[in-house]
Amino acid sequence: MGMTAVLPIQAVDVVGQTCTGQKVGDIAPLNFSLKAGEIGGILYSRDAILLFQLILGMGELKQGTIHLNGIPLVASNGSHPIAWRQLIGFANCRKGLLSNLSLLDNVNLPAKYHGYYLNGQGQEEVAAKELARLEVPSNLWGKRPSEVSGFIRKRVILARSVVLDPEILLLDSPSELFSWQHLPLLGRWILHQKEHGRGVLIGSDNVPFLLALNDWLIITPAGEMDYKFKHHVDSKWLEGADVMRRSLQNEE
Amino acid sequence: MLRLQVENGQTKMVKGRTHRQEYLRVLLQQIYFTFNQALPLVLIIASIVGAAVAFQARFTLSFLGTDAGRMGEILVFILFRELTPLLTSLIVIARSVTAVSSELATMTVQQEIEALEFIGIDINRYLLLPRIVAGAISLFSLSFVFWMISLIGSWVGVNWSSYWPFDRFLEVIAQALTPMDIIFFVLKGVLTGAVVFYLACRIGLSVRNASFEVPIVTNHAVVDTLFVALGIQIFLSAIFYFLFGVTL
Repeated sequence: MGMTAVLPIQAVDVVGQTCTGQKVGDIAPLNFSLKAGEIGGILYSRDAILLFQLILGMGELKQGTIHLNGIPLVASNGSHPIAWRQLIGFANCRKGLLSNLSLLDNVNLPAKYHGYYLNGQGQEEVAAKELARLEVPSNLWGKRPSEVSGFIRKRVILARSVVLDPEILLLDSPSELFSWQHLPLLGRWILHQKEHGRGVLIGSDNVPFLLALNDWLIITPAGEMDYKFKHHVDSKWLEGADVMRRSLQNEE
Repeated sequence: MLRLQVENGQTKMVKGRTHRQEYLRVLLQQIYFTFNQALPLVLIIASIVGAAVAFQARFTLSFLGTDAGRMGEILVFILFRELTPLLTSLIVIARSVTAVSSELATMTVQQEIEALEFIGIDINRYLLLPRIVAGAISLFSLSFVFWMISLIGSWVGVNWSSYWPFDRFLEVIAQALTPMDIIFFVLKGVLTGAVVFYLACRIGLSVRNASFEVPIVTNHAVVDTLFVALGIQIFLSAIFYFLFGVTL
């Protein structure tokens, strides 16, 4: 799937309150539209995770609208249609793998639960492909999350986020736990998602990483999209981003 | 339930059964933990309790000079109607309620529950329902096994002073059992299992993202389910005796 003019997600004047578990948080006003095959970023991971929770239907939209493919994410009866979540891939920052499942089963879980087969491929085949793409050694696939490092777990979380072939990918601090020498691997993976036509929304505090990859950036509390990053960020950050961008290009 | 399917490169929502395989996996895993792993403990306790009740009953009957044929009624009255469901519930609460509530509490603290919701998995269908069904099946099955083993123990206890053939012993028990005894036995097992596991899950999920709360909610789950299990047993016994009277 190449880049299209489809508008996968559009958020206008979003103000909301999220409530997951026992935690409640207010989100600052945000305005953006994320197109297919585009990478957007929110430079402040707290606001990003609160927005992600709203998009995933785990909060109350107090003001504004969020549309996915032109359809409101919140149904008319106020509930969030759970099937829509399958169009949205989400990768937690650190936690979120089930400790009683192997790494492969963790990646497989959404596909098995939703009975999803991507273009006739077996569920394990898709999961294995994604784990391999993120260079998770195959001898670890049968291990449980507690038996591997945080870096491996992070890559498994990322692999799980795309097994349902989502149109939107929400990444919470994806570069966390990636060392500098491993960042190109993450960069290539995110660019692959972009080439695949997915809209990728990243929340992170890693400024050079965001600047190197993103098509646009939101810097809260302004809450508006910005394509010319130099208006808001320090020139040293831009230099860092250039170095990273060159590094990604060299790797490819 | 709606699910997404890719056809000719287009994603669309279709109706279909989707989570059956995962539901079965969680269900069977919970039955394995609650039923299979509790069997050794149930075998030991049931045989000891059966032997002790029968020995006491035989001793009391001979002391009172009553017909030993009443033994069947005594065993059904004490073991089948009351002790078997009650002791099995206590075993399940001690072993599995603690496990289920602490597992779910830990999953909440580790943000696994939140992650499941994020990837569109219905917690009630994926975590709660299979555990509740497994609890009902396991508690009833354990009660059945308990009763069978306690019968063997009872036979040993009855034979302490004089020999009583096993077939004659079973015949006396069968004569004492009524269809309503069996219906209430099934009700006690299934209802207690379902309610106790539902409470264990709910209490486990009520933790507020701090690991120090895990033992607190586990303790809370044990105490609450203990009272609820006792309440269900007393309530159903009371209904039974109200409807059919004391038949001993």
